[in-house]
Amino acid sequence: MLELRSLSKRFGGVHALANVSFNVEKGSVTALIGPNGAGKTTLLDLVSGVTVLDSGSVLVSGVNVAGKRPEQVARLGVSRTFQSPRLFGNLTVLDNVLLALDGGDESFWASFLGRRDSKQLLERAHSALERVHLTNKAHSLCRDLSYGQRKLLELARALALPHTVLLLDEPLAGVNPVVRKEIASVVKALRKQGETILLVEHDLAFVSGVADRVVVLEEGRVIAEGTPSQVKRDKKVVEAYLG
Amino acid sequence: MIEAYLAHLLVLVCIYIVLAVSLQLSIGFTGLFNLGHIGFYAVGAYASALLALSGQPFWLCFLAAGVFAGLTGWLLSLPTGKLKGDYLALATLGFSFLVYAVALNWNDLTRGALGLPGIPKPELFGFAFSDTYSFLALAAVVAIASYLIVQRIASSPFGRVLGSVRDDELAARTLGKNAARTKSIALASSAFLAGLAGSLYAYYITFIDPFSFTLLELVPVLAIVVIGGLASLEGTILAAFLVVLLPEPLRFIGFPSSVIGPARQIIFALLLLAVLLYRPKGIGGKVELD
Ligand SMILES: Nc1ncnc2c1ncn2[C@@H]1O[C@H](COP(=O)(O)OP(=O)(O)OP(=O)(O)O)[C@@H](O)[C@H]1O
Ligand SMILES: [Mg+2]
Repeated sequence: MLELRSLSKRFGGVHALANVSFNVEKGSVTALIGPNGAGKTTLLDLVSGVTVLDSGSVLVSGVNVAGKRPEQVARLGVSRTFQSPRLFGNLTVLDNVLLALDGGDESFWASFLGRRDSKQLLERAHSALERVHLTNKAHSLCRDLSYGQRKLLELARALALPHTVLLLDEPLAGVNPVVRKEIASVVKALRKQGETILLVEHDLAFVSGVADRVVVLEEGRVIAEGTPSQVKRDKKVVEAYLG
Repeated sequence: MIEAYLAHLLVLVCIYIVLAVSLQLSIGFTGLFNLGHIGFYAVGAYASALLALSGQPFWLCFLAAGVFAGLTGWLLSLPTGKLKGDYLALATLGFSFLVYAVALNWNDLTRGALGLPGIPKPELFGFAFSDTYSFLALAAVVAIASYLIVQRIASSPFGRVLGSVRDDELAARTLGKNAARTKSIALASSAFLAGLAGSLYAYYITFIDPFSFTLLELVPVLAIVVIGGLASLEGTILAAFLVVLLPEPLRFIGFPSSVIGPARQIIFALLLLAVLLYRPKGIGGKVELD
């Protein structure tokens, strides 16, 4: 489903990623863990086209998306969230989700000639919000949301975008325990639904409960890969995490 | 007499409404820091005037003004597509200056500093808009139409895409939005309307020269946008009345016209300062840009 082959990226002197390869199987959850600065976010950026890679290839359902622009990668089925949420602050919560649902049907002329959101589209947007319990905030502006609500909304927005692969960058980070539980339960539900997910997360307990496979990055290299229990027993991982 | 003077001021209000609501389309709704609006206005005015002087009918000159300015906006958006904020502001400012320089120096086409006199009054279906009152009716129709057009675009699904590009271009792209194309369309439509304003102006004054399109002309238009509030069309209309009408009493106090020009600029500056200090979002501002 998602195949990464020899991804490399340098920022000046920093080798953010060096020759990283692994696969994410269809319908599975792969967790990407590693210390700060290991290159986890950089990896999601390369896959989603946000950052241009130096070398390597990224296959999404067999199509190489390496070197494509973010909007092209999105249309090829990659949806993502960001480590700190990137919402459209002056738009409403509902509009943020509608933007994800309304792929490609927003031509200037159609709008100019009076096309408005169909009832069906609005219903889908509302049910996307229901999923993260933000229905009562539908008409609030995003800039008025709390951090936890932003995280939830960004997740709902990423889900609303038609996709085959979901990339989540630390969905649980920085939110209070209540929201944390809420987000964790959404992610677990996604797994049950058969979503294909690549997830960056620090919380090992959560990762063990949700991931089929774990990939451990350190200084831009894969130092371990396997099931959660295999990885937890790995010496190098213990060192990287304790040291 | 006083009625004719008032009608004259209202014609100016209408022209400024067209300029300001179209500038809102790029600055307020799309977040494009477009300071080239006077350039588009000039392109429209010259296109319209040259065609009118060559005997073309009003409707053609008027539409051509929009189309020429819109094309210019589209072209300008191509190399500047990647520019943001201050850099885009500088590039569009440079463009305005370029248009001014061309108008001043391309003597064969524009007659340079001599300008283009004798632009005929507009005629539509055999009706000539030859006095100030009938022209006011025409200008009001164009102003209302511009307002409705921008309102329609802004409140549509496409307007939502404009807002997403304004608030976070990268996030919009990761949702599959073609940000570059979106910005091109926004700048081109904004320029189209500015071109129509230019045509109105040329037909109204019946004479244009490069000095009507200096960068100073941008000051009142920007003042209207800031005072009205970003992305607020109602605020913009109110502000257009304020900015055009507020300096007028100066004339009656008996200031010489050499003082009135600079005094107007001072009034705009004070108005702007007051808004920025006491009401940073303007009359009805809806968006916060960072
Ligand atoms: N745009 C950039 N320019 C220069 N260096 C960068 C850039 N982005 C990332 N880096 C560097 O690349 C390395 C990997 O960063 P990255 O953000 O991918 O780490 P991470 O694993 O996501 O860390 P964290 O857990 O803190 O989020 C770091 O050394 C970082 O400083
Ligand atoms: Mg990171």
